[in-house]
Amino acid sequence: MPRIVLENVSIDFPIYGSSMSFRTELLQRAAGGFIRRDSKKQRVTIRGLDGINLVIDEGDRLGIIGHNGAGKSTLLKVLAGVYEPTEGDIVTEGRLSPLLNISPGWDVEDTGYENIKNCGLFLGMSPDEIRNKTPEIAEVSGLGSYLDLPVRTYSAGMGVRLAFSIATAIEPEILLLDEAIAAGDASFAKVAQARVERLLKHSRILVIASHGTELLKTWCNRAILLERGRIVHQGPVEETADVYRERTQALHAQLSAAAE
Amino acid sequence: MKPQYARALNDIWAGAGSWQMWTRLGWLDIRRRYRRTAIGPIWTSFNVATMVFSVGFLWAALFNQPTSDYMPFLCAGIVVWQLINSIVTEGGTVFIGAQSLLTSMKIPQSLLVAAMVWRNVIVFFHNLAVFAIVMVIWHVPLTLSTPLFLPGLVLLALNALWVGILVGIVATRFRDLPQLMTGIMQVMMFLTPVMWSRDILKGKALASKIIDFNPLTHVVEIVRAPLLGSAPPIESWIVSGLLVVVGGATTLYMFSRFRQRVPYWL
Repeated sequence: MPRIVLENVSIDFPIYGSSMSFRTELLQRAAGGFIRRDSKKQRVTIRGLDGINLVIDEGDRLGIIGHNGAGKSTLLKVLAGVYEPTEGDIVTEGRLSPLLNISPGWDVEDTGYENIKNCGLFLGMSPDEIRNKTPEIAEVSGLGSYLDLPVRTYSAGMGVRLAFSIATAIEPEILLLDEAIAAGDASFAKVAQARVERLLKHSRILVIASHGTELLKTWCNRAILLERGRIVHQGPVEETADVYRERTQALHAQLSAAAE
Repeated sequence: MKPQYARALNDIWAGAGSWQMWTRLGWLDIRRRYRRTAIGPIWTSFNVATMVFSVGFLWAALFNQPTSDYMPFLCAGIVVWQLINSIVTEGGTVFIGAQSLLTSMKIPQSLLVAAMVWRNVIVFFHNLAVFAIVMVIWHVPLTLSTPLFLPGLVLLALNALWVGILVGIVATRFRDLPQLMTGIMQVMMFLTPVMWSRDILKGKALASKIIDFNPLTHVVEIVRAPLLGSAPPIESWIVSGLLVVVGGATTLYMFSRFRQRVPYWL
């Protein structure tokens, strides 16, 4: 039974910049003594997520709303298991398919068919499974003979169609989507929604991040609002979207007041 | 067992276990590197051949050695050295180069290292074709010891795995390391009997000692000696085996401490 539980999860990104080299590191070491136990406190970090508590259960279609930099993508990457939390715990149960900024194994120099093979393998399909699913993926993507061409000849939207078709083909128990999926055109949006509906019939989990609330209203049944890495609201999508709009308007009012 | 050790071992177990993925990934890397070239990976064999057949004759004269001995020795040495050298230097970019993969899904890090080693083993076999030509020209005999290069290669690959993980982790955090490694490996090539045979150090006790303490001498020997038709000395086997144990333990410690930090450093 698929389920994700986050307990007090925080993420700190270290910022190295120029201290990424031995030189500065060695200089600092020499100045501050050989081993500095409190070196962590002197390190510059950015808090990406701050004390996130969240339970995602079977049948949840969770929308993550927030401004740029609110921590949406970071949260998706934590759910995907890319970043292990600096603090707190996460437990994930279920076969997971991430479609974040890029599909794993994606190579624009490869043809569409080769990308189906490679991405499928990375997503945990066996070579036989991939062979069986290839016609279906090709059909859903609607790319026809383009699949014989290198992916670099595709438009952005076509790339998204293919990546989405692959990511949903493994019939994941948990599907993670970043907002890039919104790049598909209207006709594909319909196909995509039908496919997600089918997945969710088997009580699977969908998590999708976006700063456009319209998309989430059609796809999700609950939502969280992120601000500076914290959950500031959670509840039904409409309600959360309203809170988001109010807070955004308040922020705009503040900004324009400051400008005058 | 501490949980971070369990997670590190789990990563290695899962990575090594998905051989279908690292073999495919290794092939893909080679295909990508030589995409749209006419002769593909044969380029590296071509480069090895150019090196051996040009400077080989010069060095044979310089070291006062008959070409029939020296050319096979040099060719086998360079083919093995190429393998070691590219594993160490590519170890520095094994995680940095896979940035988009490592930040788009959870994937065992050891799998990327296994793919890197595999790809270099494939290149090694391409280069071995050059040595086959040398064998024919200078009549290097096939003996019962010749197949021993395979277990030697396995031992070398095991060492390559820990080197790749260790160098990969440190180089992801400290981006100067790949540059430093390139320099160090250049020096090591001169300090390891690859272009010169250790026979020419006869009577020079100190220099011989230094060479014997260089573990790369032994790692080269366990693959090269069988290629040249003789069994490698037992101490070369022992040193290479010990290297797997000591290096593997060090790497396991580092890997368990810093594995989860690697995506943050990318």
